[in-house]
Amino acid sequence: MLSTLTPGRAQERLALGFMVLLAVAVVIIRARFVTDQLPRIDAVIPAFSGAMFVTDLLTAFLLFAQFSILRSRALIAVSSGYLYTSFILVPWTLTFPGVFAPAGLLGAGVQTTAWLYLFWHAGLPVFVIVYALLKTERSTTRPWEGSVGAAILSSIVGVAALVLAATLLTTIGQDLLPRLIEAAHFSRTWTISAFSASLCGALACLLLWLRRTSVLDLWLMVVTFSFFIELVLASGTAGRFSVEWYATRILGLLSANVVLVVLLYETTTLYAQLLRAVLAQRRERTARLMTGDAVSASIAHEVRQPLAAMTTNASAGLRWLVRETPNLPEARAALERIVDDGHRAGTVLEKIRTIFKKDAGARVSLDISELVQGTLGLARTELQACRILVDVSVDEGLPRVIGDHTQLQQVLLNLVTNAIDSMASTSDRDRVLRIACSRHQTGDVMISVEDSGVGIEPGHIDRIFDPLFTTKAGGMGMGLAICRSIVEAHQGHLWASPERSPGAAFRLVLPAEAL
Amino acid sequence: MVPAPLISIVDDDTSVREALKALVKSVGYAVEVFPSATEFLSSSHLGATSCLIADVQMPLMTGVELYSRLIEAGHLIPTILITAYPDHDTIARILKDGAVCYLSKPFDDAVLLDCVHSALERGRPTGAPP
Repeated sequence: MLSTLTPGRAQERLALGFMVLLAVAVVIIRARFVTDQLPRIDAVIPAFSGAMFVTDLLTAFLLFAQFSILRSRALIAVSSGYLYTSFILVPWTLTFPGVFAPAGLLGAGVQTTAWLYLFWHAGLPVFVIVYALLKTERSTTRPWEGSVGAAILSSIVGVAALVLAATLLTTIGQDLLPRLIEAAHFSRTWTISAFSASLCGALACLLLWLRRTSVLDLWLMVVTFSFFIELVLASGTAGRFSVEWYATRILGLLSANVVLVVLLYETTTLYAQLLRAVLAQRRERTARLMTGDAVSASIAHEVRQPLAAMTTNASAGLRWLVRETPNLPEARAALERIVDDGHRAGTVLEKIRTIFKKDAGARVSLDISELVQGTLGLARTELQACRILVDVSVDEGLPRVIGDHTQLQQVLLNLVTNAIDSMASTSDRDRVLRIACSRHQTGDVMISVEDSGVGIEPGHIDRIFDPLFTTKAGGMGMGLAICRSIVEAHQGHLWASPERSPGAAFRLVLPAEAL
Repeated sequence: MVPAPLISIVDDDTSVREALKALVKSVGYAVEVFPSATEFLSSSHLGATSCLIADVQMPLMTGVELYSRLIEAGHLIPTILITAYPDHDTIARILKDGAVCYLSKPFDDAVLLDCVHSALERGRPTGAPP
């Protein structure tokens, strides 16, 4: 989202470059062209206002849309700011002398348009200051809980009222305001007021710089800076239709477009990214399906070969036997081939199982105590939540073990989780998980996981390692079966030890690393 | 004495090849086996083969390609194709090209022998006398 996206280095440099360019342009204009007059084109004003009105309105709309998604109070401040900027263009254009009437409409006086100009250019920076103050890091701001529609509506109404008030003040109440134009020239009051108003822009820009987090902040900085620059430029007494004046108009148009262009660019980029992500997901799904299809076709092929050979050999054998003079050697050969084919089919199935074994990882030299600590680390939150005392003991000089780290950790984690589950309901005794690593009599490494939980029922002790056997309400029964096959794949053993005390004990033995 | 018709068997899978050899021998035909299509094409038995039984899924040259090659080269040998992947499009195309039979593994031995029988009866695909 534009208002939460962090700008890249390139964007920051672009924005700063833009601002530098503006500043340089202003300096040049001020130095060189200050008193030059250009031909008066009255049509410039309505054209310019029209363009700005549409742009600012669109920007406000897009920012309101962002607000409706993110519900950030800060966003509604900046959207209102843009709405204000577009609304105030209406009275400003209508009262501009020479556009619709020689002296401007709405009973405008000489000062009206000038004051409206100041209200306009001080207004947006004020809204941006509110935005900068309201927004905090990420989403720690309390989001707007109420109706989004109501918020937007009230902001529209509020801004309209504000603009109406400003219009009334500058038309009807214009005598209350200091005179900005004296004898058809901008007065000193104008210079002072314009310059002070420009400071709003400077302040807004500074505040944004200090609190900047997103792409929106970056480009709002450019906009407020251009407002500041514009007022500095306009504070001169050069009068309307001078180079300076035209320059400020152009500047105004540029700054109005900046945020809109950036918003539209970001929207298109995000849309493209979304499309790409959806397509990639679809492609991945197809690939996965195709792989499954390919695998099953390959399995079918591998199994059909020995089957076809077996049936053919059997028929051949039968034909050799039903002849007038049965050919016993040939029949026997056929039967022997059947035996071989059967074994071959068995090997094929074994190979298929290895295809499906996930994490067919590397076998490395492992330290048992590190493995146990790692497992306990993974289960730490659960152990703490259930207030289980953990007692770990590792014998001195325990040899290392060759195995797959992920798989063995899965086994230990499964045993620990089972222990936790069995102790979850006991409340009459201490919950203790005891893990001991020792040297087995054969020289192998033995790990025992004991708990003080509900224990294993005597009748179940032989069945708990069977696939699909479970005593858990939502369990699938695969855990211990898989653990056992992993341990056995490591040339080890996993069994449940009958315990005298309450609880269960699981022991696993793994061959020590041969040195 | 009329020499027993020579049946050539081409299959990359050893056990299927040996089993087919035993089956065909048990009904009295002469058999030659080949582990690949290229070996069959370069063998001296090519001209004498009265019927060809070929597996479709083979590395380097498939049974279908082998059949096309033979037709192009003018060796119009009645061919029975067997495969572990029955695929309707391939079946239709092959039968249109004049192959005698198309069977999927595991096949019924009686059906296969029938196919061999009719292949030998029919003679060359174009109907020319054997």
